[in-house]
Amino acid sequence: MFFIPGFVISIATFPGVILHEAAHLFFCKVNKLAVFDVCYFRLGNPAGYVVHETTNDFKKAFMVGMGPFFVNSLFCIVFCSAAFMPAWELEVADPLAYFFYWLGLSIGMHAFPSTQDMQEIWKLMPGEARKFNLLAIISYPIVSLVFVLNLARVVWADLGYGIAIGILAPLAVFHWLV
Amino acid sequence: MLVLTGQPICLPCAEAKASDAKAGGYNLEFARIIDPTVCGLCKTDYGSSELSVIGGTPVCGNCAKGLYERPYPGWLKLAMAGLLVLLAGSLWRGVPYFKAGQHLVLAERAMDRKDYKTASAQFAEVLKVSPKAQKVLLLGGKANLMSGDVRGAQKFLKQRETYDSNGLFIEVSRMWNRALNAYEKAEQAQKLAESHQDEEAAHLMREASNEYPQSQDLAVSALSLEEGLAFNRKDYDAFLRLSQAFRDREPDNPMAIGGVASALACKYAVTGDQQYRTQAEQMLEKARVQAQSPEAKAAVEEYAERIRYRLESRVIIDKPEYDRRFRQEGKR
Repeated sequence: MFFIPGFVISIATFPGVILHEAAHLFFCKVNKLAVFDVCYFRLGNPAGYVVHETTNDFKKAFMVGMGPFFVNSLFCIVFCSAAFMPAWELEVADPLAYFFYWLGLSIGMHAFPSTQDMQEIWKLMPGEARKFNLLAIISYPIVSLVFVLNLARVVWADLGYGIAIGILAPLAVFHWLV
Repeated sequence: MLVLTGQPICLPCAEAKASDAKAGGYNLEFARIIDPTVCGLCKTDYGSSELSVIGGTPVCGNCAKGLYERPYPGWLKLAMAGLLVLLAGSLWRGVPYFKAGQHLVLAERAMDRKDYKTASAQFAEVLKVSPKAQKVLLLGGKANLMSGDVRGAQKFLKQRETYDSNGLFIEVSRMWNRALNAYEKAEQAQKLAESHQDEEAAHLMREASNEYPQSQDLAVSALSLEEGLAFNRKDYDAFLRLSQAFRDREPDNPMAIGGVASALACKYAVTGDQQYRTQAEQMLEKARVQAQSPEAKAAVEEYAERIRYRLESRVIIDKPEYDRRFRQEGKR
């Protein structure tokens, strides 16, 4: 396992950071939460952020916190769909395919919510689960998994996730469709 | 304004007190006084009207609108629109790739069910889009080798000069080398047969066929030579069994059917059992029906004449002897 400084990874995969923050902003707007500041990309830690109003509504907190995970995953699959066949299966040297591969994997790599993103969910989840909020109950495994994957970023779990959904998912869907 | 232990304090005084405290080795905790009538964002003082608090900050109506309706920057919208257009174009341009991918999936499924001819045809379609893909070339080569078509395999494998070594490459290389080795042996066996070393030829051809059992040609050649041997040593049971095995492999081949007719005629000649004669005649008729080309018809006519002689006379002679006795004009 080799170490690459975080800012280098951020630069190399900046579209993922931008989309992640744009997704946060989108879900803040959808849920009518005030947004005080947005940074789509910068050379620093974190590479991007959205400062927004906190909420006690679990559904809103879940959507804002986990939204980028689903949006980035979806866009990763969509962009990689244009690339996985020529670049992965057919070994065709198509620059456009490689561009979409980079774009898709960059986006997939930044799908995981950060620990800050999950703080509100984490805070509200136990109380909501006790009230038998179904979303809170099903959030437990999702949030736990994302939490573990977030920790596993040091062993390139984010890249692994990008490859898994960017290559294996389109491949599986294609096999299923044929 | 800030507050320290319940007393208001201005910012310069707070900074002075904080540095004194730091020098004295302790810290002071200041809190910001929030005036609910002053907008925390635009700093407008609304007199006695209290503003709504958003995220702990009093915010006026004008500023609140901006907080809830923060627009996406133009560059972001433009970039996203551009990428989506590019994506649509790429997907449209990628239609041949998806079609090739479909052929690839169908080829792999055909390989799984051991339908190598279908697999080979599907892999050939993939090659039109991806002529250098190692996996496609190796699997296409393998499909052809498994269906006994060495030339077909060569068409795939020669598309690349070099291959990366992996499990599939090693597997196909071994199959390819085995097939080539078998064909070399077959060539030697052919030479031995031409020099009338029938036993050695049949043995070597059987070895070649065993080495590359997928080859129909080698199996048929081995059976053909073994049939000849059985006939020469007058082992007509073996001759019949081998000719039937040949016919089973190529049920539409008039020569294979004729071989069975010949063996049945031999059995009739030595046993006199009418059943063999009837079957031999049925086989001759079947061979006549199966012969479509002028060459095949001529061949059937040639051996039918000899087999009928065998059935009429119950005398077993080979072709050279028959030609010597009855075909004065020599070769027909």
